[in-house]
Amino acid sequence: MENTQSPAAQSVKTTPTLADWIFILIVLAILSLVANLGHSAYLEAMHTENSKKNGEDIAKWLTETGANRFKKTFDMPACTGGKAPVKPPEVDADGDGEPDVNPEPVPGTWGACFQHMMTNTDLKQLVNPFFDETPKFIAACNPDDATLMGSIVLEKMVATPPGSAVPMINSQLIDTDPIDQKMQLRVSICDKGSYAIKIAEFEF
Amino acid sequence: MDNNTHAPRLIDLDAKTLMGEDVEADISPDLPMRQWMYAWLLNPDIPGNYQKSIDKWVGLLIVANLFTLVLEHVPAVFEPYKHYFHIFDLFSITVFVIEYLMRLYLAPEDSEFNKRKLPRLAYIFSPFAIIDFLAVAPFFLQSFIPVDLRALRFLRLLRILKLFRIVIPAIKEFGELNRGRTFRQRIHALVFPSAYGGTMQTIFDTFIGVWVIISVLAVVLESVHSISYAINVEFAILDALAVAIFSVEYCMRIYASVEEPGFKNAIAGRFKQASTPATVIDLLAIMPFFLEVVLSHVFDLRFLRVFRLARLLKLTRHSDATAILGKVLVREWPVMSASAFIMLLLVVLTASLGYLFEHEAQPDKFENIPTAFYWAVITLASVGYGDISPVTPIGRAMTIVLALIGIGIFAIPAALLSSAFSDQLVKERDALKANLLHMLKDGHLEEAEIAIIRQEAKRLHLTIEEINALLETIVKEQENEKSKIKSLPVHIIAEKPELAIEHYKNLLGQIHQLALMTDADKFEAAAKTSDRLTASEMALWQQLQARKSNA
Repeated sequence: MENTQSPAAQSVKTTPTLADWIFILIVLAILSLVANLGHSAYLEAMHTENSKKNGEDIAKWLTETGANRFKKTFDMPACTGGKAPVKPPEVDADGDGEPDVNPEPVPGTWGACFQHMMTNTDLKQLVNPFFDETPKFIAACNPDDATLMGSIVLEKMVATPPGSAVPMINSQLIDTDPIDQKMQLRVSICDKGSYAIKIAEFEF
Repeated sequence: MDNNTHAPRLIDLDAKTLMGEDVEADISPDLPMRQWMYAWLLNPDIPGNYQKSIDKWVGLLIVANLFTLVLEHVPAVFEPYKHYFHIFDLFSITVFVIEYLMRLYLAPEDSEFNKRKLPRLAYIFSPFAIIDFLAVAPFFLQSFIPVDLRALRFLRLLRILKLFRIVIPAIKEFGELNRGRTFRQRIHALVFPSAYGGTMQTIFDTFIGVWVIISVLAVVLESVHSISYAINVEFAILDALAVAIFSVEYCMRIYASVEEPGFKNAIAGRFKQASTPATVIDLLAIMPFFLEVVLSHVFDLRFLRVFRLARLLKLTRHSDATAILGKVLVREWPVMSASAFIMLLLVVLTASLGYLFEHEAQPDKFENIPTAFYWAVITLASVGYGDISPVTPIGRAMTIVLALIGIGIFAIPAALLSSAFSDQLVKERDALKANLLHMLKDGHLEEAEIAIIRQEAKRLHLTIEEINALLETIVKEQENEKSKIKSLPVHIIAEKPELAIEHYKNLLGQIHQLALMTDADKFEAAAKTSDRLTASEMALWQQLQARKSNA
C-alpha cells in the first residue's frame, strides 16, 4: 500500500442518505439500460449468426453437390454438370407473332439448379431471422438499404489474366448462367448493418 | 534534539529502506525446517519473504483459469487448441495442489491454527482450505467418477473462489480504514486514490485495467474476420459487460467526486469532475455502445466502434508520464502554436509553388492547390511516398530548397516537446528535492513523509541510485548550510529566528563537546585561580558537569 497514513475516523452519519439512495437508483437504472441494450445487441448478433448459418448451409450443399455433379451416378438433373443448357423450342401458343415467355428455367443453367435447391432440398426451410421470411438472393449488400439484412449474395468468381490488378472478378450468379462446367463460387450474407460477411469460397 | 545526533542519522538514510524495496527478510537459517519454510513462504508478517509474491502469482493463475474457462465455452477457440487447454489445466492443478499441500504441512506454524489440538485438521476445515480443496477436487473426481463435462466446467468455476483469499482480507482492511465514514466517502475511497483506499482500491484499479485491456483486445480482434466470424456473439456480450462495468465506474466517480479537494460543490463540483480529461475519456469509453444500439436503425454508426479504442486512454489515469506530457503541452502551447503556424505557412507556400511549377507538366497530379497540399505535407515531413513527385527542373529545384527548410521547421515541435518534457522532469525532481530537504530539516522522516517521498519517487520514475544521489546532495547541502551559518556575523544570524535557532543549537553542541572532552577538575581550578568566569558562567558549567556525571 502506498499510503500508510492511518486516517482518522470521522463521526458522521454512516447509513446511506437520500442522495446515496438516488445514486444507487441511478446506477441500477443504468445497469438495466445496459442489460436491455446488451440484450438487443445480443439478439441482433444472434440474427447475424443465424444468417451465417443459412449461408453455411447453402455453401455446404453447393460444395457437396459440386463434388458429385459431374459423376454419372449423380441424380439431380437440374444441377448436373458437363451438359450444356438446352434451350426448349420457342412456342407461340397465343399466336401474337412473339414467342411465349417460358417461366420454367432452362435445364443446365443456374436458374434450374437454384429452383431445385430451394424446392426439393432442406434449404427450402431457410428463414431470414431478421424478417422471418425466406432469405432473398441479391447482387450485393448495401449498407444504405436496411431491407437487405440477412439476404444472401451468391457470386461466381472468374480468374483474371495473369498480371491483372485483381486476381478475381466477382459477379452475381444469375438464372441464365450455364453450370455445365466447374465454377468457383462465393457465398456472403448481409449482416445487421447490411454489410457483407463472407461465408465461404468453394468449387461448384 | 541534538544537532550532532541528527547528522549521522541523515547520512545513514538508505534509499532502499526509504522506498520500501528489496527489504531482505530477517529469517534465521538455524530455524527448524518447517518454521523456516513458513517464515519464507507463508508468514504475512515478515517483510521481504515470498508470501506476497506467492499470493500475487497464485492470484494471476486464478484469473488466467477464469479466462480459460470462458474460452472453453467457445468451440471455435477451444476445439483447435484443446491440447493446450488441457496442459494449462494440468499446470494449474499442479500449482494449486502444491499450494494446498504446502499450507497443510505448514499449518502448525500458522498463528490461526497452532493453538488448536490438531492444527492440520483445523486447517482442513477452515473456510479458505475448503475453497482450496474445492478448486482442485473436480479434477481428481473425474478420474474416478464419470462426470458430465458441463458439470465439470461448473465445478471448475469454484477455482474463482480462491480469489477470496486475496479479496476478503482487502475488504476487511477497507472496512477498518473506513469505519465511521459515509457511503459516499467509502465510494470515494474505492475509486480515487486516498489514504482510505488500501488494497481494495488497488484491486478496483486492477479490475478496471484488466477490463480495459480485454475490451480493447476485443475491438482489435473483431477486425480479424476469422475471429469475429467465430465469436461474434461473444464479442457482443463482452462489450455489454465492459460497458456495464465502465458505466458503474463512471457514476461512482461522478458521485464521489465531491469528496475530492477542489470539487466540493454538489453540482458545480460534479460538472468540474465530468469535464476533466480523464472523466471525458471515461464517458467516451461508454458512449459508442449507447449511441450505436439506440441509433443503429437511424444512422450507420459502425464507425463509432473505433471510438471504443478510447477505452485504452482510461489507463492513462494511472500514468504519471501522461500527466507530465499534458503539463508540458499546456506550458509550451504558445510556442507550439507559433511553430504550427509557421508549418502551415510553409505547407501553403510549398503547395502553391508546386501547383505553379508542376500543373502544366502534370495536370492530373497537381490539379489544383488543395490537391497539391498532400504532396507538400509528404515532402516537408520527409515521408516521401513518391506517388507524386516534381518533374520540371524548376519544380525539383524548389522541392530541394523547401524540403531542406521543412526538415528544420517540422522538427521544431518534436524538439520543443522533448526538451520541455525533460525540463519538466528536472523541475519536478527539483521540487521533490526541495520537499525532501524541507522534510529532513528536523533530521528525521515521519512515516507520512516517507509515504509522500515514495509516491513522488514512483511518479517521477526515480531509481534507487537516483534517490541515493538525491539524499547525498541533500546531506551535503545541509552541511554547507551549517558552515554558512557559522561564518555569518552574529547580528545577521540574530535577525532570522531559524538561523538563530540553528546557531544556538550549534553553540550548545560545542559547549557539550567541551564539557565532555575537558578535564573538569583542572578546568575548575584554572577558572577559580584566574577568576575568569562569572558566577552564572560557573553555575552553567557545573550544571553541565552534573548532567555528564548523571549520564
